Amino acid sequence: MEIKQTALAGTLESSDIQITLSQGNEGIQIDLDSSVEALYGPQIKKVITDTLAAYDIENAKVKAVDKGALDCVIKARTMAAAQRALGTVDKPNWEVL
Amino acid sequence: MAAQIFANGEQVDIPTVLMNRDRRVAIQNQLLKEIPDAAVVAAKLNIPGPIKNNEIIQAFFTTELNNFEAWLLERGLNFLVKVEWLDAVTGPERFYFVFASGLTVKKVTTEFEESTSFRRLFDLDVLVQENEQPRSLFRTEIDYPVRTCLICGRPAKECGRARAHTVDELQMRVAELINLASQQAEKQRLVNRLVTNGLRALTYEVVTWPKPGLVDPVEHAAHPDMDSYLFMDSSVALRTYLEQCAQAGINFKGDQLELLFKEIRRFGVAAEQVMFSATRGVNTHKGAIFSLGILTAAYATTMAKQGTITDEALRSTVRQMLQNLVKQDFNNLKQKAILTAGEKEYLKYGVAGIRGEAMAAYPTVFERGLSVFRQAKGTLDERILTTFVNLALHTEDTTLIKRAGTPKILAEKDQVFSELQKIGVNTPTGRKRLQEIQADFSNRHLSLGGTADLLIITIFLGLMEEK
Repeated sequence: MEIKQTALAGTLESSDIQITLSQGNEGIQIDLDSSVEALYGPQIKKVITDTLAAYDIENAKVKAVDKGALDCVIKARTMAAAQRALGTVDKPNWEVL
Repeated sequence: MAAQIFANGEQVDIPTVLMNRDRRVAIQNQLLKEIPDAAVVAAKLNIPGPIKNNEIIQAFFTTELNNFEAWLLERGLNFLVKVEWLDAVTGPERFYFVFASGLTVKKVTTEFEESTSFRRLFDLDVLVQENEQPRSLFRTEIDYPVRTCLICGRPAKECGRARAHTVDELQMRVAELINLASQQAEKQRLVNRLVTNGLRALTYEVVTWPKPGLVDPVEHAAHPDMDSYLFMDSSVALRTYLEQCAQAGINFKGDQLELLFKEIRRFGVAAEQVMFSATRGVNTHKGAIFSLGILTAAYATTMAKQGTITDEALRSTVRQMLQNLVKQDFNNLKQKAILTAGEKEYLKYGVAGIRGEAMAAYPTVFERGLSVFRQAKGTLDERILTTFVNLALHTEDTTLIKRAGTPKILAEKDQVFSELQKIGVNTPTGRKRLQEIQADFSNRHLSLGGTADLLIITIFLGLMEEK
């Protein structure tokens, strides 16, 4: 699936993550900013990549600002960003969750 | 085992929590635009687990935010409450404008969060508008360490991310903290009740009419240097003193209760000065300061230790507080240059007066005052007068002896009041007789000052029994 528009989901509140998805053409490129990056950076990136894969998104630039979000939050925020980027907000794909 | 506090409440799922976060950010941004100069404080709780709101959680939230608001005012910060979501399933929230710089506000809110163990459950986020963008301030900007985990003290984000602790474990800890907060709130309520009822008792006594030998709004010729306004001035000036006695009683540790008495006596000495400055040198409430202070502290400490009050428990506390009072106080009187009225009476006639009454744990108050006040029917005015007559009858009033110059006056007083008691003070004849006695006392410049003090503490104890 191709990203139609740049989209954002999530907040900078504590325990949240803000995901910005925009068009890219070199696979999934994640720019992660997290206070727990040293410990959980790879895990956070894996959750984002896996969630995007469930939407068949193979190319995207991802800006992720993490404030200590749990995996389930990262997944939900990535889903919301993906739906907005794909223009499918009206039909949320909760089964992915 | 889940904590009792979490027995009730709706469970929330992740999408609901996330939607609420979006809603919160939206309202915050809107508020920041509304008053760009003010800082916005978003107050919420950090409650781990699926249940984030119920009656207990909400009561904790609002009680502590009352304290937070007082905390802001004490530090010179004004605020405005703009929005609140007390019932939200995602947890209670309230949003403030605070009129000061973001850093100032962040410092004050962080100090509040760190001021007690249970206030750590609060998340008071401070937001400002910077370059037309909302920005949340960090603890590190005011040189505070990051938040630590409720359970192990490591940085909270690390434990949260790692799910280092089970929900049960976290809920137990939260419950422990909220219980602690509710115990403290309970103590504060007791202090407030003691202070309020002390002030009510002081003022109720003055407005009751007719009281022979005492000041009331109608007649005060027995005390030409005083009137009921002066008594009001003196009463309200004693608020701080009563609060000190209540706090000292609640906080008192150990069982050497005579130390508690020593502690509040120092407050009492200062309170006398406060009284004299409020009355421009007239002794309105010296006896009441002594007795009301003792009973306030005794009530507070008995309640704090036993969780309930009986006459016997309260009197036993008073007895222990005052065990050496007459001995200590009267021991060196003969060397003392300036004697109080009570001390002179003791030397002259051996009447121990209020000290003797106090040391015996106020038998006149409990047996002749409170028992009557409890049973008396009618309006508050009628109940207080009935109590007053019975107290007057059974008190060895040293103020009366002093004014009359002889203890023989006690026999006359007993006769007058026992006759009045038979008629009944709340019959038309009784009221008329009471006014005649008041006129007679005024003419002869006789006072029942000692009885008034006992009436005040009787009313105080009676008011403490209100539901």
